[in-house]
Amino acid sequence: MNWIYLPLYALITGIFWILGTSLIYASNRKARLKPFGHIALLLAIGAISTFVVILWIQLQRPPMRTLGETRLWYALFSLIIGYIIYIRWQYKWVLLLVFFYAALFLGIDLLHPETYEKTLMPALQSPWFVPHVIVYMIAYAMLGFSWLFSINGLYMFYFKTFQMKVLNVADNLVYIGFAFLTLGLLFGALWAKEAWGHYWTWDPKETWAFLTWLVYLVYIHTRYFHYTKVRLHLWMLSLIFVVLLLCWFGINYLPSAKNSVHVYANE
Amino acid sequence: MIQTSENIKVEGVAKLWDYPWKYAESFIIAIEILVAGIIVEASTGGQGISIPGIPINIYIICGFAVILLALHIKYRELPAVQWISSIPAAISAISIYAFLVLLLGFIPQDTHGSSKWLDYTGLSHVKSSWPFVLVQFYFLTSLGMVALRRAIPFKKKNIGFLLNHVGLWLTILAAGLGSADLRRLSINLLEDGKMNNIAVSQNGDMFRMPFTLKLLDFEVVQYNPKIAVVNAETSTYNMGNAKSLPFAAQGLETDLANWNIKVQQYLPDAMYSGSSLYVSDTIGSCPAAYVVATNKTTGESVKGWIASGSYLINPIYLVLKQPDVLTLTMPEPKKYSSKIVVYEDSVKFDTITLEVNKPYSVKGWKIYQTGFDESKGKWSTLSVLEAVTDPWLPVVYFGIILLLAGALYLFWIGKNKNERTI
Ligand code: HEM
Repeated sequence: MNWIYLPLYALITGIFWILGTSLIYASNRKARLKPFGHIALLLAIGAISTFVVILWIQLQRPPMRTLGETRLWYALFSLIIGYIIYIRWQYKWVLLLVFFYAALFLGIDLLHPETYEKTLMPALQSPWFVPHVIVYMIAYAMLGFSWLFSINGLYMFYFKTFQMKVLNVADNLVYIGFAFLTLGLLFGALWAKEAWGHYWTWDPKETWAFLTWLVYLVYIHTRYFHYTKVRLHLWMLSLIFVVLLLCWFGINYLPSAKNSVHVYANE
Repeated sequence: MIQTSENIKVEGVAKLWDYPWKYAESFIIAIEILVAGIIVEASTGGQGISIPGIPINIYIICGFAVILLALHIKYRELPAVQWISSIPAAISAISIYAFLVLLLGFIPQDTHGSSKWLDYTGLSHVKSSWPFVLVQFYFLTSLGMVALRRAIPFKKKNIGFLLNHVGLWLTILAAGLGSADLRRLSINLLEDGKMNNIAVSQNGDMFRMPFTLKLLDFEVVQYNPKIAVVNAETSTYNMGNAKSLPFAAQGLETDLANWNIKVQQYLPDAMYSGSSLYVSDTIGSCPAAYVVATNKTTGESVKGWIASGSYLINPIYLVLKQPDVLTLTMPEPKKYSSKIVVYEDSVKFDTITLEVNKPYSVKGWKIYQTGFDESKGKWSTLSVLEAVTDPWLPVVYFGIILLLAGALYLFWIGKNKNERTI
C-alpha cells in the first residue's frame, strides 16, 4: 500500500502551501512575489493530488471507502476551494484557514494509520459524502467569520467608530457562506436520493439545516432592502450565528442521535 | 423600489392598510393565513390534506402559474400585486414558513391520535397539514411574483437573481405537489429461489411490480466484534476510561476498565456446544477469541474463550470479577449486498449486485438495498429492498440545477461592488 508515502507528500504539500501563503502576504510590499506565491500554492495542490491519483491507481478503485481515505479528500478539497476563494476575493486569511483544515485532516491520518483500513458504514460510502461535508465546513467558516465581523461592528457601533465597510465585508462573507450552505443542502439531497431513496425526508438534521438556510435568507433580504439600518443588521447577524450553533449542538444531543449501550442488554 | 409616503407623514401617522403595505400588514396577512389553515384543519378533524396526484396536481401547477402570470401582466400596477412581490411580503412569507419548519423540527411527527390538540392544529403532521400547505402557497405566490417581476421584461443582469428565485420556486412547488405521486414500496426477498414481483406500501397495501426479482445470494461482510467488559447485573458496558471499545483481532493487546487484555487467538467463525469450541462456518457460527485478562491493580489473571453468540447460540462470557464479565459484542455490518436476477419480461433479464448507495433502475423504478434480518446478522436469508418511483424527479432536479447555478453565481458575484476586501 502506498500510504507509507503519505508523510512525504503531506510534508511537500505543507511546505509549498506555507511558502505560497507567505509569498502572497509578502506581496503586499513586493508585488513581484505574487506570481511565485501562486505557483507554490498550485504545487502544493499538485502534490496532494498526485498522492490521491497514485493511491487511486494502486487500489484500482476511487479511494473513498475508508475513514482515512475521506480525510485525504477533505484536505485536497479544502485547499482547492480555499485557493478559488482567494483568487476571487483576495481574502488572504482563507489560505491560512484551509491550511489549518488540511493540516488537521492529514494530521489525523498521520497519527492514526489504522483509520486507513477502517471502512465507513455502507451509507457513507458515496462520492457525495466528501463534497457534502467539505462544502458545509467552508460555509460554517465563512458564516463564522461574518459573525466575527458583526461582533467587531457592534463594538465599533457603540464606540462611535463604525464604518459601513465592516458590514459590507460581513455581507460578502454571508453571500459566499450562503452559497456554500446552498451547495451543502443540495448535495445532501442528491446524496440522500442515491442512498436512501428520497431526496428529502424532513428528518431532524435536514429540517435544522433548512431552517438555518431560511434564517440567513431573511438576513440577506432585509439587509438588501434596509441598507442603512446598521444596528438592526449587526444584531441580527451576531445572533443568527449563535442560534445556528445552538441548534447544531442541540440536535447532536437529541436522544435519537445517540447510540444506546442498552442494545447489548437486549441480546 | 423604495416607496416614500411623505403625504401621509405630513398628516401624522400612516394608517394600517393604507398602501403601500409594509411589515405590519404583511405579517398580519401571514398570520391570518396560518390561522385560517388551523381553522380548516380543526374543522376537518385534524386529518390533514391529501395532495392530489397526476393529473390533478399538473392542472394545479399550470393554473397557479397562469394566474401569477396574468396578475403580473395585466394587474401589476395594483398596489396589492405590488405588495405581494415586495420585500416586506417576502420577509413575512419566509419567516412564517421558517416558523412552521421550526415546529416541524421539534415536535415529533406523524403521531396521529396521541394528542387531540396537536392533531387539530395540524402540528402532529405538519407536512400534510392545512396550515403548512396554505403557508407554502403564500410563500410560493410571493416568490413567484418576485421572480416574474424580474423575468418579464427579461434583462441579462437578472440571470443570477432568476436562477435562485425560479429554481427555488420550481423545487418547492414540484417537491410539494409531486409528493402525491411518490411511491416507496418495500420488497422482501428470501434466498429460496422463488421469483417475486410483489411490493408492500407502508400501510400494508400490496402492489404488483412491472418487473420480477429473484434473489440468488445475500451477503453481509462484517467488522470484527468489539471486546467489552459488561456489568452482568445491570447489563451495561463498563468502559473505564476508554472512549470506545477495541475491535478484537489476533494478537491485540489493550487496556479496558482496569484490565489488560490480550487476544491470543481470534477465530472469525466458530461453533461450540458444551465445553468444546471448534472452527466452523456453518449456519449460526460466530466470532470467538481466546483471551488473557490481567487485573492492573491486583495482578490476578483469568483466561478463556469469549464469543459473540448468534441467533442460534448464546454468547460466551469470561467472568473477570463479579459482577464484571468479558465478552465479544455482536459484529456490525461493514457492507451488505444482494445478487439478484431482474426480469423485465420473459425475454429480458439482468443479473445485478445491489448495494447501499448503488441503486438499480428498471422500468421507471429505482431499486435500493435497504436492510436485512439484523437479528440473524450475516446468516440472514432475507434481503429487504425498496422500490421507488417519482415522476416529478426530473422537475425537482431541474429546479435543483438552477439553484446550484444560482449558488455559484452568488459566490462569484458576492455582495457590493466596492469595499469588500479586507
Ligand atoms: C435561493 C434562495 C434565494 C436567494 C439566493 C435570494 C437572493 C436574493 C438576492 C441576492 C436579492 C437581491 C437582488 C439582487 O441583488 O439583484 C434578492 C432580492 C429579492 N428576493 Fe430573494 N433570494 C432567495 C429567495 C427568495 C424568496 C423565497 C423570496 C420570497 C418569498 C425572495 C424575495 C425577494 C425579493 C422580494 C427581492 C427584492 C426584489 C427586487 O428588488 O426586485 N427571495 N434575493
